[in-house]
Amino acid sequence: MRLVDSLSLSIKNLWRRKLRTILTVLGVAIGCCAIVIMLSLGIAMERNFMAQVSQMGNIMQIQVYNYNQGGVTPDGKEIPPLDDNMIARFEKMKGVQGATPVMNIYVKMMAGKYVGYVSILGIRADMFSLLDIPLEEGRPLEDGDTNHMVIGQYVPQNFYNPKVSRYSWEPMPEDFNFMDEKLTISWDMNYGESYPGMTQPKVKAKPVKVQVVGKVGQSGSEYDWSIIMPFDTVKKYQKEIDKWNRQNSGSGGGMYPVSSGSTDQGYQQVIVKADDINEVVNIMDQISELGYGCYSPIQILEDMQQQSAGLRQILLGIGIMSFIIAAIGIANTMFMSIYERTREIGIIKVIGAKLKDIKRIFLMEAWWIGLFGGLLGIGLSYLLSFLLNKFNVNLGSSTIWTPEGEMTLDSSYIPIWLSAVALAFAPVASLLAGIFPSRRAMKLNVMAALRQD
Amino acid sequence: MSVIITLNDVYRAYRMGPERIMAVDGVSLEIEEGEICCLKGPSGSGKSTLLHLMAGLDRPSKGSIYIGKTRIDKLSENQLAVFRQRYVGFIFQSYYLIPTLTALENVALPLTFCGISKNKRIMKAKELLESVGLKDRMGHKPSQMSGGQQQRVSIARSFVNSPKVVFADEPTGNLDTATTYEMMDLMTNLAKESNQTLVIVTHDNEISGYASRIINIRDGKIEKIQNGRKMHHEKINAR
Repeated sequence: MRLVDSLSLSIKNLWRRKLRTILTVLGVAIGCCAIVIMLSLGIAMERNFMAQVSQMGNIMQIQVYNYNQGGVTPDGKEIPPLDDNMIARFEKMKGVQGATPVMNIYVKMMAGKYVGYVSILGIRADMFSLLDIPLEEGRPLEDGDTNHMVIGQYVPQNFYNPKVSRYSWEPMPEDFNFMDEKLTISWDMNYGESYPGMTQPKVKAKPVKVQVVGKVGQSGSEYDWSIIMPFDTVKKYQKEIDKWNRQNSGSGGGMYPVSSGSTDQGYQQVIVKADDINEVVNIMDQISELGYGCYSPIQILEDMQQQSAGLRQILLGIGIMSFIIAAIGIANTMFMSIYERTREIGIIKVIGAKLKDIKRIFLMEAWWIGLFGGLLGIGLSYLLSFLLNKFNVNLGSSTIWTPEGEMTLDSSYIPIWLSAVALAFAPVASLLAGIFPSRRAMKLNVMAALRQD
Repeated sequence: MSVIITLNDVYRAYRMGPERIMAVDGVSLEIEEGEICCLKGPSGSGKSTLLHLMAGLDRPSKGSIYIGKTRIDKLSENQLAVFRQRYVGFIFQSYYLIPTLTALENVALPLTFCGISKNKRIMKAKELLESVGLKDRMGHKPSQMSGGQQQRVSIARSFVNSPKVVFADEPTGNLDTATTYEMMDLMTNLAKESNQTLVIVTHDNEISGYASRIINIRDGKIEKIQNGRKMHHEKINAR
């Protein structure tokens, strides 16, 4: 018997008992929908965690701090300095894409007629692209850059016009273009300002010319508020600042910047970038073992996942249970129709249907039920998912705050792969449910079947 | 004339509660190609069981059955199915048509299981329905047809795969006398065209008139064999 013939024969058979077929298909659809919706809730929950955590910074990045420099680890090993050698060692760890020391200085910056206090982050220029800092304009930092900087999108909010009265505030206009303006920075926190009674430092700090080459877009992290410059440049500035501070010590004049960054014994902070989300925890374990403090948003993500794992398993369990009920429904329908059609099975056996043909006709019937049920089920799932999200049924959904304002996260999300899996799974499960009934049809005795009315 | 069906000392026992009933009790028989053979006997004589054994629908408790050179009581279920597709046709008392299929689809159904393409099987089925005089009933369902028409469909179905042997189990049991003659004419004419063998179970005396040989069965045994009024596919003029 040809496949086409068994396909069309089985669908004709199903159509003969419309109501029962439709009811069974509905059962499968609901079972399929239950699994998809339950999974979609779990998936949405996971995505929401990810979205929330991403707000806290990049989860592929690990901040390494040298809190305990010079101390010992709990098992008595000396903690080595966080220096270039150690960075090289981090970079050799499995799953590490790169590492950069981080140095942070605070300076006064003048842009056109405006001035502002800014925080400058020094990172290695070649690491810039690895840190997933989104650029809105211009170019990233590159090897060979010196006094070039990339500024965070909120940095302009720090600027004001010092010439207007001390008691009013003229902020920088929003369309101010840093890339075209003449820019200078100074260690002197009074730089660019003058007001009565201001004391002058003993040695004047010489302003340094800088140049903006790029602007950071929405990153949701500290980069929004910072200026990023090549590490070596920032290190040089730090030396200048230290020197200038020494020259002015005891003079009482001027305002001195605070800074963090290099000590004689290596760096205080290093960022390590992993190349795979699954490696992050592993890398963190290795670095912690050396005695350094580690931080990554992934720790929060892991906590959230652990706490919700039980809930997600229950959801999946409910889904699977409903599908099993649907599968039993299929088997039941098949058995019923075999009892009804016993004589017919006898007839087609007599006129030459092979056992394989009979089995195939019944398996096909189950398969059709599964296919239609699966299609309908996915349709239902999308509808239900849409409604859940529209009415914001609060099961794993939540609201997070972003710079654009409040953002409501979906409570249900059906990825394409989930619908594909469900569509493949429903007919396969139906086939399984059809195996037992179809074997029974196959094994019917011809004579007994013919005698039955 | 070559022998088409051979039965060698065939037994078929049934268990009915504690009792053992010999439905077929030591039958040996040869049926020749092109013969119209009538199995006759009172009800419960075992004539239907004998037909089912010859057709491979049932298996003997003892003995051997050959169709042509094939020993059919040793074939597997699947081999039997293929064997039926190629060599055997069936006609039953209650027609046994599939109620949801049209006349045309019913006739074409055996060819479906042979794996013949749709166009070919529709063509062949149309041809046969025409020859049984149902040209204008092809799209009708069995429920829309009279008993005689249904039996015509069933006859067309039994001949559609050009079988060597057609088995008929009380084919006219549900029909009136006039229709019985029509059916018998039809069957014998169709069989004659390609020298096909007909084995008919009946207790109708009208039918025995068409037979080349009448085998009387009683209590599972052959009581006597009569030569019929007709020889092999002799011109039929029973009425």
